[in-house]
Amino acid sequence: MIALIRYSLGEASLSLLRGWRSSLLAIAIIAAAVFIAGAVVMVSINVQRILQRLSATAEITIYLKPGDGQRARDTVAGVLTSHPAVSSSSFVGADAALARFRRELPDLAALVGTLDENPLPSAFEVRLRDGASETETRALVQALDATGAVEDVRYDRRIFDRLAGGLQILRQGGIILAVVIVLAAIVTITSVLRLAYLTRRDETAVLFLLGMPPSAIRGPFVVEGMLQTLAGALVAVGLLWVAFSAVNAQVGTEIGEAFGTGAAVFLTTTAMAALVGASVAVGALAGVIAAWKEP
Amino acid sequence: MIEVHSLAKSYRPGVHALADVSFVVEKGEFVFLTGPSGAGKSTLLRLLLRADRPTSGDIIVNGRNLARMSPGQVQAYRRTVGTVFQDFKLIPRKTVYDNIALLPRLMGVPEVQLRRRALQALAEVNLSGRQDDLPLTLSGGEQQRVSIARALVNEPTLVLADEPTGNLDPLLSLEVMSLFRAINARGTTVLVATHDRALIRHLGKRVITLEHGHVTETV
Repeated sequence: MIALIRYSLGEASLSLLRGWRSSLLAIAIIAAAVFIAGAVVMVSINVQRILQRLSATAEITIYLKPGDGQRARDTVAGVLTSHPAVSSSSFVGADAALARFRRELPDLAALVGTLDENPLPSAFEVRLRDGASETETRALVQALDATGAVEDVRYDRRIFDRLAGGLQILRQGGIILAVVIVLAAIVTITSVLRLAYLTRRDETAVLFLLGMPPSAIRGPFVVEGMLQTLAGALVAVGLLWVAFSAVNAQVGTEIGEAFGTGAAVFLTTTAMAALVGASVAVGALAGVIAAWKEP
Repeated sequence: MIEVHSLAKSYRPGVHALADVSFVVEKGEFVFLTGPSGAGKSTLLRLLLRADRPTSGDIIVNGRNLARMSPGQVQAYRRTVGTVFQDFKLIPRKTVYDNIALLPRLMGVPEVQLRRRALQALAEVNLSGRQDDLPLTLSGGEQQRVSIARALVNEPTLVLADEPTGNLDPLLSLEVMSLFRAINARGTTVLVATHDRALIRHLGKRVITLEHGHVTETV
């Protein structure tokens, strides 16, 4: 086994040097594929952090039905007190709401003053618990609706839901793009390896006739594919780091402060290992395909 | 050692490369396979190496039917056969030593043992000291002797040679044939395909003659 690995490594290295132009092409294509896949993962991780932060600070405003009075207020307050998604809540009565309106929008205060009665309803302003899940929040809204005392629920999180949906589409688009490029990379690497295989067909045919096991015939091509994709993946991770550092230096601090998320994060070691590992697996697969047919 | 029963090979319907070929080669025998170009000698050797499958009939080597071998068994069988080709089929970018040692090394033969066997095989073909040369720096006769050393390094019980002197002048041909005779003298079964009648007469061994895919004479 050690002899086979040593032989495969030696032959693969020689082949890479001999066909360095086509090897560079294959490395560049796998680097592009890994770069795009890595960029999608990195952007989605950071956008997800921002959304989580925004979502955690989101408020729900619950408007009570006019004229329901203290009983409706107590019913809604009871739901809010016992619900796990709620961090805190405060009641704003209709008079307090009007006072706030006049204070915060003095230009419109005169307009309200012409009305016979206060048009603003009583409301609860609810702050959600940090890390409250989407499911919990939906359950809270349903529980409030079920009291029959609620006129309307203003739910900031719906905006974030739409943003999260957009992020999901971005992820899916990125995955599709990465898959297309990975397929292109497989085709390119397989073609490059197939060319190397055909170049050495006479040699492999003789070794096959002399009784060399198929694993030893295919080994060098599998290792060559793995070396190409390993190089491509490492180049991609390096370029991702350069791009991440450049973007972070330009706008990282501002974004972090604006959303309260702190510094942007690069790919985790596990994510990088997964990207490189998947690339090497693709290279091995391309090698097997290229040398599948017996000489 | 080798039993061939009613062997036939057709590459196209109605065109027989071999038809109803039967013969037996005993263990330790030296046999020439001869006949004009296109008689079926190379086809027969390809079938004996399981590089091809017969259309019908059986080839039994050391009691094992070649047609019933799995791909892994075929490769294992080939490693027990020493094969010599007309055009040597050496790997030009590898040294003489690496050409000889490549296969046994991959099969896990320890390097010390491998070196001893490879140098011994080189000595048997009178090429001691040439292990670091590249094949293209050697003469045709020397290259063929390297390919014979490669065939010997696995200590085969059977050596198959397809026109091993086809690219050599008469003197070198005699030299190569004397190597086969020496190999046979230590008990290895040798089957040599050649159309060189003079060589056959010179060595005076058993001859199987093929013509148009049929065995016409066994002497």
